[in-house]
Amino acid sequence: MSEIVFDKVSAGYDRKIVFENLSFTLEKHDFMVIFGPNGVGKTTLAKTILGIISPISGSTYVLGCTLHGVCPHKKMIGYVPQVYNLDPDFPATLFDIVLTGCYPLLKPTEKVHQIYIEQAYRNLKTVGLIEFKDVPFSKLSSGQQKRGLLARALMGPPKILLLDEPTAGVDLVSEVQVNLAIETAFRDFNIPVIAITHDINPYLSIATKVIIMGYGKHYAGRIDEILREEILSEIYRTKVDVLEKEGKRYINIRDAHYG
Amino acid sequence: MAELFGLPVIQRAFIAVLLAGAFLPLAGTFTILTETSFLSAGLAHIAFAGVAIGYAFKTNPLISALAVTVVSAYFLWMVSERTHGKYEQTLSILFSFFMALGIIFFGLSKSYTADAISYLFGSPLASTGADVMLLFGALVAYSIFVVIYRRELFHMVFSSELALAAGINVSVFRLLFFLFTALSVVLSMKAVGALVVFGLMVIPPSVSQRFSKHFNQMVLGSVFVGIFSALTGFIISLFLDIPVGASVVVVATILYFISVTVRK
Ligand SMILES: Nc1ncnc2c1ncn2[C@@H]1O[C@H](COP(=O)(O)OP(=O)(O)OP(=O)(O)O)[C@@H](O)[C@H]1O
Ligand SMILES: [Mg+2]
Repeated sequence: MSEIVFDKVSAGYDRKIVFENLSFTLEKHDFMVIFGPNGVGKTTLAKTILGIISPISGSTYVLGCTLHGVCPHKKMIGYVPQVYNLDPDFPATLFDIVLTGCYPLLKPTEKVHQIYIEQAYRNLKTVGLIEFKDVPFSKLSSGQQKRGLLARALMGPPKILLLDEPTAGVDLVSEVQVNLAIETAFRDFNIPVIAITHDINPYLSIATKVIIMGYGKHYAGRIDEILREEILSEIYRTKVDVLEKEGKRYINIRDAHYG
Repeated sequence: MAELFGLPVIQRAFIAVLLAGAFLPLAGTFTILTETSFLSAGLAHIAFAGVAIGYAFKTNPLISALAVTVVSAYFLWMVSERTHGKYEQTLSILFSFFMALGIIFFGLSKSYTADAISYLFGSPLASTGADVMLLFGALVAYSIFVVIYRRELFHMVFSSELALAAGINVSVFRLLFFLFTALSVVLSMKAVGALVVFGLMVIPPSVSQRFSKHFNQMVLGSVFVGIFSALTGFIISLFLDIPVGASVVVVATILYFISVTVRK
């Protein structure tokens, strides 16, 4: 049974269609990377998966839920958003924010179990922020906030991990740490991962599926089928090479002139 | 002083002011954290227009104020849902329109002008047992709501996108929040006055926010600061014979300036 099935889904805002006729499936063992130029609708796709946006047409199946929009099953998705704004005096510590990751699992009368508290500590260690746990969340740098939100998304653990540019604004060393945390969650929790990114290279050894989104066009499928030079060159409208070095593939933009 | 507090009318007034001092900051905390304070200011003025309309039509002013304010809050919520939170323009227009109506009906209700003014400046001594019971009931209902849904509310004020992703029906919570804000404004108006309702909604949470590391702390802190201001302000108003609402807001403002000078 697939975790996610999108069948000819079109979505957008107020009748403005952002992407059309997108079909893909996500299995339990999949690590899916979504990438493409700015503004093609990657974040919109993430919100459609979450149910924050209802598709204009097509059918969706997410964690057993075929309804459009928000549904109790979908809250089992651990989500790291791309951007969000926070009042600089917002009264919450990093630890408070990480704990909110388990709130959807609690009834109003339930207290936060010790297991979740331990989990929050563990996740903060995983993303390398344990010494910041009592710092007001709004006083952290944006890269640290991003890592904090990853620790939050790992609470539960979730049934799917959905990451919208998890390493954007994250420093070089922390990027390795974040990617390691994602891979560990993928392997240890045995959950599928969807990662939206502009740099697919760090994920090429682990990714099984890919969605390449372009303006009015997209390709979805197994990575060995889709990640081809002619497709990449078409989407980015410039010459893109898929190179192999010591058995590892990576993508290289040869010429940065669009045209 | 002690004899004064022996009088039932003073006791009722005192309780009404304390209840308003707890209710308004509680509702106000959420307006501060979601940057919607203008909503409380707007609703307070709309509520006053509701009072003037009530006197002009010789109906119970509290009921007309409640009707006008709750309907306005519901309407603003609908606009907010359709426009992704951009209801401020509509609120400005409603605010102005109802102020205009308020002025017109205020003029029409000549024999009741003094009574109508009591809603503007507050007259806790005029509080009836029913007024106090209503205020108490609404405060208890709102408190229960806040306690039960503290996590959802926290999630929402932190990020409505993450709250949606966490399966929270943000839209319904926002409606309840708009309605409770309307309720807190209307029911507190007689005790402290429509003109200072806004002050009690924003000042205590602002004081509390300066000292709070956690959300729960800020909520409890603003209620505490609100009650303290109400208590002190009420006693001062008895001594100096000045309007209670104004005295309460002055106390709260002094606390705010102290909180600004004291380091976190
Ligand atoms: N809330 C919104 N209302 C209306 N249009 C929107 C909204 N959010 C995004 N859009 C539009 O939808 C399109 C896709 O945006 P989206 O954020 O999904 O792109 P993206 O692929 O995530 O881009 P990036 O790489 O910059 O993150 C853009 O044209 C954008 O202007
Ligand atoms: Mg995006």
